[in-house]
Amino acid sequence: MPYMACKGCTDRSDLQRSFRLALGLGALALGLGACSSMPRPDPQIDAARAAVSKAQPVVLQDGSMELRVAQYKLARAEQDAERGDYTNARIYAEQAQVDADYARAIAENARVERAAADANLGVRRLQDQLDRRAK
Amino acid sequence: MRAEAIRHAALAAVCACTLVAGGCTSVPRATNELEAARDVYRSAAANPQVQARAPVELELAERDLRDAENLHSADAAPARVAHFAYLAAQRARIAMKTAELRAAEASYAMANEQRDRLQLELDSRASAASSSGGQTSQPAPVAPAQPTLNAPPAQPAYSAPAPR
Repeated sequence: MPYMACKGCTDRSDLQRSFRLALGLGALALGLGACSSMPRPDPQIDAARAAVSKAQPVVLQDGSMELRVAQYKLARAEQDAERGDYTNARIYAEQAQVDADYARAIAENARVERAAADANLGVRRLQDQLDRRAK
Repeated sequence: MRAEAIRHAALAAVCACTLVAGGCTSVPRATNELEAARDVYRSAAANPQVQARAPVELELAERDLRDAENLHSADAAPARVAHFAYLAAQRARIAMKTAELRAAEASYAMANEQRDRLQLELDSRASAASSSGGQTSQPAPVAPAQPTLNAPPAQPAYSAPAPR
């Protein structure tokens, strides 16, 4: 059908000019669209950096695998942002943030569970001493 | 004229076949990721402990799952759906881990209170025994040192998502 629509265009140079114009406008629209719809994801990268920094001192053993994944994704986000691939940079940054948060939750939970187990052991020992004295 | 008609019929048949084939073969959609995220979120949301101890984290997971569902319904790019599904699943896991963490904190605090109470009772019994016996008794054996959390108390296990 596009052929039928252009049947009236008898001048070949007119056709070429129209084609070039359309191509140029298309490229411009794509360029503008890319610029306006996807800004550089600096807030997401900053949030991911903060989450990774917060997790690093807490994660020693438990959650270390998740933290490594978060660090890898943060590095990818930074690289992609440098290359101008903001879509992927944002995806990697957002995932790095949740991965770091998850790593920290795992590590904190393991630490507090160990402390609670120790505290409960102390309680049982005291209870035993009291029981022995009562006899 | 006849050849033209045959050509049109053939073209129509090709189009119809393409449409039927298109309908039968599944368009790549991030169904697996979304289904996995729904499962993780469902188990988090169904856990009363998560509801009680990590409501904020659960709400963040719900928000991401809703975004993934909306994108899926709008036939958005599978990668975008998969991304939000991943965020939802991770946030649901964070909610579950946070609930466990807060339960452990409560257990730790309770154990310490109990330990203090028992230690007090042990001390008072020891002093009562020494005053009635008229002898200097050995102080009650020292209970194991109170375990301490060797780091500051746990902070909320989520960081505020960057504005979208």
